[in-house]
Amino acid sequence: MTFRSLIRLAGIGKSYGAVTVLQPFDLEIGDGEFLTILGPSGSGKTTILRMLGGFTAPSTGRILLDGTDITDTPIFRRPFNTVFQDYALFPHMTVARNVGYGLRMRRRPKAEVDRRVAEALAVVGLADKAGRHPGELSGGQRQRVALARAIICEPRVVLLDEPLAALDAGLRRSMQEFLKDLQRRIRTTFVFITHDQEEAISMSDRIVVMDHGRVEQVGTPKEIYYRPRSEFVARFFGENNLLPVQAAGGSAVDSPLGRHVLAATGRPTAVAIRPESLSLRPGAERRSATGAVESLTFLGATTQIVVRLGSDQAHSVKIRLPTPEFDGRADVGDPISVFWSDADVSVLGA
Amino acid sequence: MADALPAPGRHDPLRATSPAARTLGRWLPRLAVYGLPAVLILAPLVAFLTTSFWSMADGQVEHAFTLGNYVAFLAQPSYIRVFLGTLQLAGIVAAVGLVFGYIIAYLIWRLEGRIRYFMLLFSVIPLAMNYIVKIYAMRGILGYNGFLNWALVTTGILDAPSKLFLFNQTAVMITMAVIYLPYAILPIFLSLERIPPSLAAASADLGARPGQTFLTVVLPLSLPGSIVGGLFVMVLALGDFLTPQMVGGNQGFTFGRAIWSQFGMAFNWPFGAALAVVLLLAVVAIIGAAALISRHARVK
Repeated sequence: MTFRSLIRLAGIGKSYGAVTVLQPFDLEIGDGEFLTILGPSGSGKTTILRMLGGFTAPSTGRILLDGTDITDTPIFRRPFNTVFQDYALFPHMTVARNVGYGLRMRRRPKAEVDRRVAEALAVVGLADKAGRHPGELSGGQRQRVALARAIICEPRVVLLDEPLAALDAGLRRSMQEFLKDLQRRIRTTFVFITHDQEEAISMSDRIVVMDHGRVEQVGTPKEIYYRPRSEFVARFFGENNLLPVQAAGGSAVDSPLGRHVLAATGRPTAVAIRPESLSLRPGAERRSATGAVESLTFLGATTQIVVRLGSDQAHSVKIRLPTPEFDGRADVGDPISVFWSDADVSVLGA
Repeated sequence: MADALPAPGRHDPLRATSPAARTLGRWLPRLAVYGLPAVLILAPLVAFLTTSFWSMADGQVEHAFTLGNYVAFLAQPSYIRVFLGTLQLAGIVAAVGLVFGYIIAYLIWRLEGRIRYFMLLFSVIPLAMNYIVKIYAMRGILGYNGFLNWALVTTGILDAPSKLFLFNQTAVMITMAVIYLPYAILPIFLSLERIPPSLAAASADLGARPGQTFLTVVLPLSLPGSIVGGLFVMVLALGDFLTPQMVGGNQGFTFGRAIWSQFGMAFNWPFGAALAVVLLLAVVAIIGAAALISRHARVK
């Protein structure tokens, strides 16, 4: 998929008086992209969504849609539709009337509204619930009504505000797949808010990681996972090895994993490498270090080996190996060599 | 195993109280729950319901069952007329309260921040004022030398002060509408407050202009609660006899005054009680309608 920019956020930020809830940042959102804004609560992710939807005006910066400035366009004129966290279904309307609401507000002919409502309900698998009221539906069904209502007007962007937060784990998983599949089918840009890292990684084309009102990193799930640029991002997703660095003059730093030449600017604070990127086997273009096995943990399919590195053994790293690959290679206390590829080491900045 | 069973007469720590005390302990709370309302609320009701089936003979109450009072009420067109007129008056007061109460409650609801609750408090402050004082205040406003006439003459709408604003049915209507307005504002505000803010946001998000959002979301969701508020005002207006007496003059005769006159002037307590029962039935019917509306509004 080639990237075609649909929305440009140019230096948008938000503050209430002296309190900055979102530091100004730039972001391009691609046409047809599944973009996830991920962060802990209070990180400013909902503020971005609210500004996109037009519920909150940014304090600084502009929002452009296909090059047109829509910063001051009122909510009801934006070609965006939202799936709210509490679904916000109209309790006094049937499912069909909820779903057809957007079309009725645009004064589409009744026959067209009826036809498109039926189509949208079929897409979300609720054709038989058209006459029910939202109060008679389960959480997952309400969720799908909210989705049908948000896509029926064929918006340029669907905004989803933690829509899966209220669902239980099993339903959540099936809704994740459903959402992703729906997004592919209707080829519409989805901007999805979540605080769940796994959800973000499994669903997104790109992820925007937020913390304390700041955009920490923007990238594909693989980039975010394997090439974190800050300690926050490195620690936010699953297990990671973070090791301290020392300046080595020029644009180089030293860590227990050797010398690293900095590509980006910024003050380096640590290096990170995933447990599964470390190996016990030598290979071409692999670096190595020796250490001692500190502990072995059998985790089923994988085995975790903690190794204390270097002569002073000041730092330990976790290694995650498929159990058959490891089986019985070493015991606690044994000296061991650890191998890795320099490409898997990320230098983290402040 | 023998000592697991308590021997007769032996002290069982699990059953420290006697059976009689236990029975009392079980019945006392029930007695309080059902007994107190029965004594304090039901008994007076039953008393005057009973009175309505008695009659008067030579200034003495005849303690014999008769439907005569009700027959008399139905047979006298003037009483029926006053009853229907009062129903109509109370209905108009309720409608005025509903319309103006809704406008005021809606405007307050749309406010943000501290001013919102200040305005709400401000609008219901009259509830804390003495009822008689409020009526006198309204008399001061509506009278020949009152504020209303002064304002109309000063602005040139009237050439001379009018006597039409006091001592007639209109005066009763205006006074009741003003006095009972806070009773309408509160329930209407609460029914607006119950609408989740995300619904209005969703409506706008789906392309509805503010006016469309009001008509399709806010109004339908707040109307049942608002109508209940209006009916509450109607019940208050139905039984009011003081306002008609003080600002209604001879023309402002209402059913409440008719009842009062049977007790206070004609000393025909049984007939007054029968009229009061008729009024009570009307009130119960209104409250029933209000309950139906709020139940219907909740089944969603």
